[in-house]
Amino acid sequence: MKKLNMRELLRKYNLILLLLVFMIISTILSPNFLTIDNFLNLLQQASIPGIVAIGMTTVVLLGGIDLSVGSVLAFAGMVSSMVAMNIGGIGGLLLAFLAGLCVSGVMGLITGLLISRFKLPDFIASLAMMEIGRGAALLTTSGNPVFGLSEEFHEIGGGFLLDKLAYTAIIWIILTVVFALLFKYTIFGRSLFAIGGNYEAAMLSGIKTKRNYTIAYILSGLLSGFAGILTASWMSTGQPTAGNGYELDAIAASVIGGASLSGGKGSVIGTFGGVFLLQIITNIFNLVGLPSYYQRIAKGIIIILALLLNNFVSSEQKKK
Amino acid sequence: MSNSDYILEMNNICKSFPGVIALDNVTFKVEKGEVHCLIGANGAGKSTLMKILSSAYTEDSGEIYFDSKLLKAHGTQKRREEGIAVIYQELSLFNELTVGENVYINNYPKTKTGGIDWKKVYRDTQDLADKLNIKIDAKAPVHSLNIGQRQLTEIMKALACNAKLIVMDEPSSTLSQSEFEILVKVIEDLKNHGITIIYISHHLEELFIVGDHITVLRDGKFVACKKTCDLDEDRLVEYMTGIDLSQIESEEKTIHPVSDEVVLELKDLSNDVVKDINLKLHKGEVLGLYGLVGSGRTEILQSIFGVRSTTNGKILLNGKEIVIKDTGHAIRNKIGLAPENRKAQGLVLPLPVWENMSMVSLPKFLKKGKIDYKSITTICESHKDKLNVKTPSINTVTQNLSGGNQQKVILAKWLMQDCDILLLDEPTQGIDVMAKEEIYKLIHEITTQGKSVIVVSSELQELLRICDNIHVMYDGKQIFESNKGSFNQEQILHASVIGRAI
Repeated sequence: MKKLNMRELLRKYNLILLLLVFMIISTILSPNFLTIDNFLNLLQQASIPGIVAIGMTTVVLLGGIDLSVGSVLAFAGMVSSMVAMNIGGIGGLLLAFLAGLCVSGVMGLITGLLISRFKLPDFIASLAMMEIGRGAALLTTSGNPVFGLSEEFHEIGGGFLLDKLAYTAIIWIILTVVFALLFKYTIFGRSLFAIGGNYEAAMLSGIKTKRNYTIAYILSGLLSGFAGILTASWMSTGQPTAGNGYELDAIAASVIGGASLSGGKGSVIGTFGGVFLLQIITNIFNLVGLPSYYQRIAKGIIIILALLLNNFVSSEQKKK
Repeated sequence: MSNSDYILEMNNICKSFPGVIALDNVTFKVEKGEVHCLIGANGAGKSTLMKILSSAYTEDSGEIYFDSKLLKAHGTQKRREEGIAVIYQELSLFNELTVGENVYINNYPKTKTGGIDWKKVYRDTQDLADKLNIKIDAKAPVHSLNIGQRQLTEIMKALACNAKLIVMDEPSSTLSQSEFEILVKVIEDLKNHGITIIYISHHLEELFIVGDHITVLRDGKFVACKKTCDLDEDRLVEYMTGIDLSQIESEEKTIHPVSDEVVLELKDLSNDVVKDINLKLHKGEVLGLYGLVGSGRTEILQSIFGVRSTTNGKILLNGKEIVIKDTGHAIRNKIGLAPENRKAQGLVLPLPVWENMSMVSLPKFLKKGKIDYKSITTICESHKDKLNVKTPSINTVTQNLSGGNQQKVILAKWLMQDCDILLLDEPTQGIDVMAKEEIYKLIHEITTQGKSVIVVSSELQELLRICDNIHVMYDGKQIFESNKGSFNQEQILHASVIGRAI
C-alpha cells in the first residue's frame, strides 16, 4: 500500500522532483544560482514565454496545437509599438494595448474558425497563421525595429516592484492562477478536458465543441499578443523578429508540465513548472559561461527525460 | 506431464494486479481440433487468461503446454510463431490496405530479388479464401468490406501464419445474423482442417451452436468445464453468476401501464439512411427498435438527437413540431442519447467517473458562476450507489471500469440531467448478465416514473422482455410492428431477416 502511495506521489510531483534535481545540480555548478536576485531574474526571463505557454496549454488540452504564437506575439508587438509611437499620453498607451490585443485576438479567431468550422488540420491552419503573422510583422516597418518608445510604455514590461520583482513576473503568476481557476471552476475549462479526451463523446454530451475550440484559439492569440506587447514594452522596441521559436518552447513546456499532445491532459501549473525548468537550463549555462549551443542540446535532452519520466510513471499506473 | 489429447493446457495460472487477483489458480484445457468456449461475466478473467496465452501479460505462476511443449519464451511474436493467434474484438486490420496485404502483413512472401512477391500474396490469399469457402476479393481494400468480411480476413491472417489455435474474442458482437451464419460455417471448416478454436462470447445461445466444450470462469476462478450437450442456458447463467436466475426474472414480470399521452412522434421521417419512419412514443413507454446492424436503427436515434440531419418528415415533441439543430438543442428539450459505442462515443475514458457523470448536467452545478464540486460529489456518489456502479471511487479514471459499469456511468450521466426521453443504443452490448439485469431494472424504474425510452438492440430476447412495443427495421425501412402481449418472436425474427412481415 505504501509503495502505491509513493508511485502516486511520484506521478503527481515528478515535475517538482525534476525541478529540484536541476536546482541542486545548478547550485553545485554555480554559487550564484541559489540567490534571491538570480531567482527574481529567472522569473522575469521566464515570464513572457510563460504567458505564451499558458495559451498553448489551453489549446493543447483540446488536442490542438498553435504554431502561430511566436508570430502573433511579434505582430501584436509591432502594432502596439506603432500606435504608441504615433499617439502620445495615457490615451495612446491604452490604445496601443487595445490595438495589440485586438489584432492578436482576431488572428486567434481566424485560426480557430479555420480549424473548427472549416475543418483544416490544426497543425496546418496555425502554420499558415504563423507565416502570415511573421510576414505582417515584418511588413509593418519593412523589417525595421521601432525604436525609442516612451518611458511610460516601457514601465509595464520593464518595470519592477520595489526595484526587485518584475511586473511581467507578477502578471505571469496571476495569469497562471486565473487560468488554473478557469480550468477547474468553469464549464469552458472542463469542456476543454472533455473535448480533448474524446471529441465525439463531448459533442454527444451537448458540449459546444466548435465554439470552445474557437475560444481556446482566441485565448491563445490574446495571450501571445499580450506577451508581444510586454516584449515590446520591456525592450522599448518593437521588434518584428521577436518571439521566433516560442511556439516550440511553449509546446515543450506544456508537455514537460504533463500535458498530452493528444489532448485531455495537462495543467497550467505544470506548464509554469515546465517553463521554469527550461529557463533554469538557460540560466545555469549563462552562469557557468558555456556557449548557447550546449543549451539547445541540453534542452532537447531535458524534454526527452521529462517525457520518459512521465511515461514511466503513467505506464506503472496503467498496469493496474 | 502433458496429455497429448490436449493441444493447450494452462495449469494453475495465477495473475494478480495491484489490489486485484485477476486469476486464481485457473486451469484451462483445450482438446485438439475442438471449438472450446470460454465464458464468464466481465471481470471474470477471460481476457486476462487470453492475454497470458498470447503473452501480452506474463503469468505470476503456472504452466502452459502447447502441443505437448512447455511454453517458456515470452513475447507475442514468439507465441504467434508457435501457432497461437488471437483475434481481438477490436479488429486490427489496416483499412487502407487490401485483404491480401493484411493477410500477409507479418510475413510477405519474397521474390528472388528480395522484393515482395505480389502475385503470390494474392494467389495464396485467394487459395486460403477458397479453402474456407469464403467469398472475398483478395485485392479489395479492407475499408470496402463489411464487418463480417473483415472478421474473415482476420481469420485468414491467422491461417497465413500457420496458426494451430485461434482465439476469437467476441467475434459475433458486431455481426448480423447472416454474417454470423457464415462465421459458423467457417468455424466448421477450420475444425475440419484440424484447427482448434477458443471462442469467447456473451451470447449464450451461440455457444450451443458452435461449441464442443464450455469453460466458465467467475471472479478469476475456474468454475466448470462441461460438454456443451450436458448444459443448458439456465445452468450456464447459474455458473456465471453463482445466482439462481429464476428469482430475478419473477420480480421483473410486472407490467406497468403506459399512458396514451404521446411525448415524441416521428412523421414520415427520412434521412440519408432511413425512409418514412412513423413512430409514437408514449409517456412511460419502452419502445424497441429491432433489426440487423445497418438497418437504420441507430440513424433514427441520431436524427432525433440532432446529430444526423433529416431530409424529410417531422419530429413532434409533446405535440409540437420541432427541428432539432444539434445535441445541445436536443438536451435542452430533455432528450438524452446513450450511443452504441460506449468507449468511442459515450465516454471520455481518461477522465474520472464523476466528470463523465456530470458532463451533461455540469451547467446545473454552477454556483455564483463557478462549479460547485461539493454538490457534484454528493450527487455523483448517490448515483453511483443507486446504479450500483462498481468503482473504487468516483475519482477513478473511467477507463479502469468494466463495460457494464461504464454503461452505468453513461446512464447516470443522463439521469443526472433528468431527461424525459432516453434513447438507448445497444445498452447491454458486451456486458455481463448481472449488469444487464440491473440495467433492465433501471429502465423499468425510470419508465414507471413517467420517463420514456427507445431501445435499439440486436438481442431480441432483451427487447421482448423490456419493451411495450417493438418496431422492426430492415434496410432503412420500418416493416413490422408488434405490441406487448402479442409479441411473436418468430414473426419479428423473420421480418428482420427477410425484410417483410409474414
